[in-house]
Amino acid sequence: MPLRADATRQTIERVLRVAALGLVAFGLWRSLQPADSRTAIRIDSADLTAALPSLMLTSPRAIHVNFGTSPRPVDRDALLALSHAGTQVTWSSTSLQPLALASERLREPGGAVRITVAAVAPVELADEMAIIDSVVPTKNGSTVIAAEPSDTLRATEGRTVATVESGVAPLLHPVLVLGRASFEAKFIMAALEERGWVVDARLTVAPGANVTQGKLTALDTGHFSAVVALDTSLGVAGPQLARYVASGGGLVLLGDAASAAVVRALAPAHVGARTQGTTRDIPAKTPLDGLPLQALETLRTDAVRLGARAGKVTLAARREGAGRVLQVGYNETWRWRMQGGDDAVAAHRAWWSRLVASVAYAAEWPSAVGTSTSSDGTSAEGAPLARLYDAFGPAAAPSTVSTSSGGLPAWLLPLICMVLIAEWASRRLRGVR
Amino acid sequence: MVDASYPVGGERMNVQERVERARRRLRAAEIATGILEALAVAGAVFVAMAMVDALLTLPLVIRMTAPPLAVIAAVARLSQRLARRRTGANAEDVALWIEARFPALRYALVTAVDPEYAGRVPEIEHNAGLVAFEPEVSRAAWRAVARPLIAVAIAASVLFLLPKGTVARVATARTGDALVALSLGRRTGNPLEPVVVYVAPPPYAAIATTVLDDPASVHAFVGSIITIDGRSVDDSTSTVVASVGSHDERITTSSGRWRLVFAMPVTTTAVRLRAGVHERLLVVEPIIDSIPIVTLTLPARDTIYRHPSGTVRLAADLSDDLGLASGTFEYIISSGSGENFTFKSGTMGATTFNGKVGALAVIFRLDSLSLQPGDILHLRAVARDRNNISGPGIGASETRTLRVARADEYDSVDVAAAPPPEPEKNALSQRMILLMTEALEKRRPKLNRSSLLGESQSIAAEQTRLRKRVGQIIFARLGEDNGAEESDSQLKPLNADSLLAAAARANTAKTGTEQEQQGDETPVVAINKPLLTAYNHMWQAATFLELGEPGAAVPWMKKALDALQVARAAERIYLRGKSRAVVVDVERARLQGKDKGSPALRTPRETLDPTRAARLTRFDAALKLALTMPSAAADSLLLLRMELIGRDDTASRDLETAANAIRSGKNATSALIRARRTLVGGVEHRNAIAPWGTIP
Amino acid sequence: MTPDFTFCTVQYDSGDWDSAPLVPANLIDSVARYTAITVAPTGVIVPLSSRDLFKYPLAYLTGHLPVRFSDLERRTLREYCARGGMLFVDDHNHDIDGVFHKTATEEIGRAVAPLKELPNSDPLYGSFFRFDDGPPATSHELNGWGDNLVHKQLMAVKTNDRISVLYSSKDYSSEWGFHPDNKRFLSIDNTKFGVNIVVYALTR
Repeated sequence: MPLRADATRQTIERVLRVAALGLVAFGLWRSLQPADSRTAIRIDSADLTAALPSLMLTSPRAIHVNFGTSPRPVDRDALLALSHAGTQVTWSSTSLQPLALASERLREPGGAVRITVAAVAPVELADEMAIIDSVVPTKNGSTVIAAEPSDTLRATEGRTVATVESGVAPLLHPVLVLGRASFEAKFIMAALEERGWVVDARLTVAPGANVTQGKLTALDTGHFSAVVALDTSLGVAGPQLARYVASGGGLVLLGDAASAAVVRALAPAHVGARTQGTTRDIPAKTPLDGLPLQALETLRTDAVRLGARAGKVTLAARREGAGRVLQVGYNETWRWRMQGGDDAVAAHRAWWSRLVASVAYAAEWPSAVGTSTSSDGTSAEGAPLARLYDAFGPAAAPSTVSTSSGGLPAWLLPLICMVLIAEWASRRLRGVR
Repeated sequence: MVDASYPVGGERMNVQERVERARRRLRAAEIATGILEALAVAGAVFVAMAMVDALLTLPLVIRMTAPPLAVIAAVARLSQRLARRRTGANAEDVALWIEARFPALRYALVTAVDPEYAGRVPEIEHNAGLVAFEPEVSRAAWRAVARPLIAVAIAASVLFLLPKGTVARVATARTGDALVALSLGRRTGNPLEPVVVYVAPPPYAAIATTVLDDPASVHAFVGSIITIDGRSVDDSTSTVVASVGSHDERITTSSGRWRLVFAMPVTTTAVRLRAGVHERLLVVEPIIDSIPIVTLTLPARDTIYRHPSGTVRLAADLSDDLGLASGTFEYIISSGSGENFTFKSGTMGATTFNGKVGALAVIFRLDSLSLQPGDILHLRAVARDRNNISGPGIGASETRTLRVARADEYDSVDVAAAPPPEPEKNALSQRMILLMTEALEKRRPKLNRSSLLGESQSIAAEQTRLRKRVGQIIFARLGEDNGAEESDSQLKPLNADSLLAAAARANTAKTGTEQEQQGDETPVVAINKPLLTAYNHMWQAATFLELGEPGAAVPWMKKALDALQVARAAERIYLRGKSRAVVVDVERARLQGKDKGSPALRTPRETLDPTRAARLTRFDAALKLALTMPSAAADSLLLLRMELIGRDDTASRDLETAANAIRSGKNATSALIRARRTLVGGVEHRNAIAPWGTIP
Repeated sequence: MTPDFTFCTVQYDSGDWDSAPLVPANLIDSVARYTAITVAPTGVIVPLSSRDLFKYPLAYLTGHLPVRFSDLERRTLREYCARGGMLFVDDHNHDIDGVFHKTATEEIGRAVAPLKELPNSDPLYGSFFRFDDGPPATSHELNGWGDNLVHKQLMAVKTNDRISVLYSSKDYSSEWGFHPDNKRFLSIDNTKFGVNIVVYALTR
């Protein structure tokens, strides 16, 4: 005759069996439910790459990603595709910093790259070979000019990483120098040639007697990247300058060259009276202060002021058609090279090369500002945080996102197992199979 | 009475003596054991280091620690052994030791040797003496010594059996022993690794020979004898051939070694070694022997002497990086003025030296140099070094100038205070002649005719002499000979009539104005017009003086004097001091030239460093080789380094460091990064983003 | 208008640097006669040890007496040439066995670099007028003054393939040492080579 305890036990066993069946049925029902209507997923950026394939298949209602490091552009683009397919994508981050990185190949010989950085904390710049330098950006950003970095540039600010391609070297044509024979002509040509520019020239020595260099073919952007006009002696090339600049050519006007009739309409400003330098000699740290100046006056409305000294404009530029015109008010810049400090020769050389580079026409636009494909096949990302904002809006607090996940809850299977084991153990202990 | 003595080895000894003898024996065994253990430890150190070196090729610094380590270990072990409680410390300990081995004694021996009971317990002594414990003592002593003896023997055997030279590398480690024994791990068929380089500087440098183990670069003075030794291998296809620059050099072989000997060239050169498939590059770079540094300490500054007399003291300090050979003072005496100078030079105070520093000192008398007013004495000290290969190097000090003042330099009356220029001299003379003539004219009433004629003619002779001097000046400026007034037709303008005509025109010119050309004047007249005028007037004056008419000559003399004044102003004769600059009327001259220029094409300047991009490409290619063929990569970097010597020393050093690191199997990453960064150039920083291009 | 070219005579401590006072005016006149280069009507005199030398990228040095530069003069000259300046040196003795030549060439070698012969095909000889046979002879050479030689070539130190020191043993200082107004009477203007030197310095 079964004991009362056995009976209770049998009842408990039956309850356990029913519970196990109930849980299995619940699991079956749960797994058959579509995830989108009721599931939201929270995921960390470290797991994002591995989770994306299944997310693309299941298309959950919402995904919240916590970015601990900069996302890979391809991962971000996949999330963007999900959001366009109806998934609500939100994100948060406590470690990503605002960081923007851009690069541009300088339009001068030598393969240098101008890297501009905007950030709120110190940034480490590197290429594929090694660290280039550390940068502490100011509120106005920072610029670093690196000679011949390798293909991919990387900026790291804490855990935020931005990458860009350094771009291809531009195709440059010769520079044409026009003016009178003078020490200014001699040293400007020397600076440009020593820097690697190919220079053609026509220097007037006497009526009908010019010192020339190069073939002096037609003045167009297929032959010359830039023209440097030293004074009003422009010769037969003068009337062609307007068309040349409008078609994309670069023009540098030095001193009173801007007052020549053929270029007056191109110049950013009028030429003022000549004044002496503000210092007696050429100071080592501020050599331009010691140069004579014909200040630029009455700037045109579309002119960009690039330099000033004691309230007077010294450099200005403007666009004319597809080309650019740069006007330099300084005179006798050769004195910087001859009378300046210890590094004057190299500095004068670099300054003149950069002046010409700022207007030079290049056959191929030096690329890679922002995004492009890097050597490992992934896209370069010049401003990771900004791209997140752009794609998904501002960061959302993680607590606003439910933590329920699609699919079976983790506790279901262990619970089923426990129930079944308890039922089986109870039967066995009663001696029943 | 009990006899307590017993025979031991033919002697009769009492038990105390026997115990004492046993004590000595045990003590000796202990000391011997300590020494043998110390030797064994030392031997073990050498064996261990030799075997590790044979496998891994230890650096010299580590190998040099083997002897001191062995000594320290041996001393430590010996001290430890001797500091322990000694078995043979005293008789009682020995007796106890014996008792432990012979229980039958029942402490009789201990009692027997106890000083308190010695001689008072004969029976006990007798009983104790009955036990023959000497053999046991001997056995124990031998047992103690045997173990360390065996250890020493093993160590010695191992050292003996190790390959030849292995022990020497640790026992007498020194630079240059790379070839003493090849390590087991590196016993390859490459006769080019390792090599030992001996650099014997030239004798004048007085520097000892330097030995280098397996270097990638060698720095040596020009003329040094460089010897490269390597180990020959039996493989006949690995015969070593060598070239220094573009010249093949002979290799000698003997006793399992090959050797290359050559003299250090004057320029950086690559030494290529080839043996079968193996190749190796060595860069030899000359050290420049600096020229001596010479400082003239006395006289301290330039000086002007009114009278060249007295003594002058000269002193100079000399130094050289390797050694001075000689030094001396050099002088040059310049005499003359205008376009006529003569020079005399010489030396004084020559001294030879032996060391690296020296001093010159001389006192000389100014009057020994026969200096005249206006002479300039230039003095400097010169030193030569001992370089007899590419030199000698000659160093010189600054020059001091000692000038002798001209006679009228300090004359306060003569405002000009300089040697008067030619016409000025003439003016003075003409003035004197004029004064003499005027004086004669005043005395004329008191003189008879013959006296008047005689004096007048003597003044005429002076006037003629002066006229000829003016004539010489005129002709010299035209490049003509003296006395040209008698020569050919080219000098037609110089006859009296034409001169008169030219002079008549010239007479209308005012003093100090420019003389303009008129009509078809010849250059002779135009250039020398005032002088010609003076010349002509002198001629007239002389004519009247010859006739005994001094009064008639005076006006001509005055006109001649005026003309000389005009000549001085027109020709801008340079007086002592700053010359008055001629102001050119540029606008008047502008483009008045008849000839036109036709400038040739300008040729471009070279880029400052046209091969920079190519060097970077070669560097990147060498980087790729570093993983698969490190030896070839090291050679490529060394060749690149050679190009940069003198052009970019920082990059050159970085490349050498990287090549050495690659060749020795060390981590070359940081050296390569540094080298690349130096090759590429630095970075520029700007604290803003420029609004337009790259303009700062 | 600021002139493009100002003639500079170098004053050095050791010798008679002022032995050819008419050369500057003569060459200024020649430059004005044949070219449109704006040139200052008078020359300037600048000590070799002064930083003012760098204001004049072409400078002229001559004399008869020994040339011994001080350390400061040597350093100034070295830097002047390295930056692009050009120094024209003329031996007023016209004597390669004389003290000016020996000392000046030694000092130039110490300060800058050893002088080497300048080929007669150098661009200097075509920079304005053509001198296909190289440097023109002077009357002093032809008259046998000094070393009694007619020097076929000048000497030079080149920096970056440009003449930084031009050295003459031909005594152009005497040849050009006359008042410019007298030039009109010469059938051949013997100062044209000086114009080449100036145009070379302004364009190369």
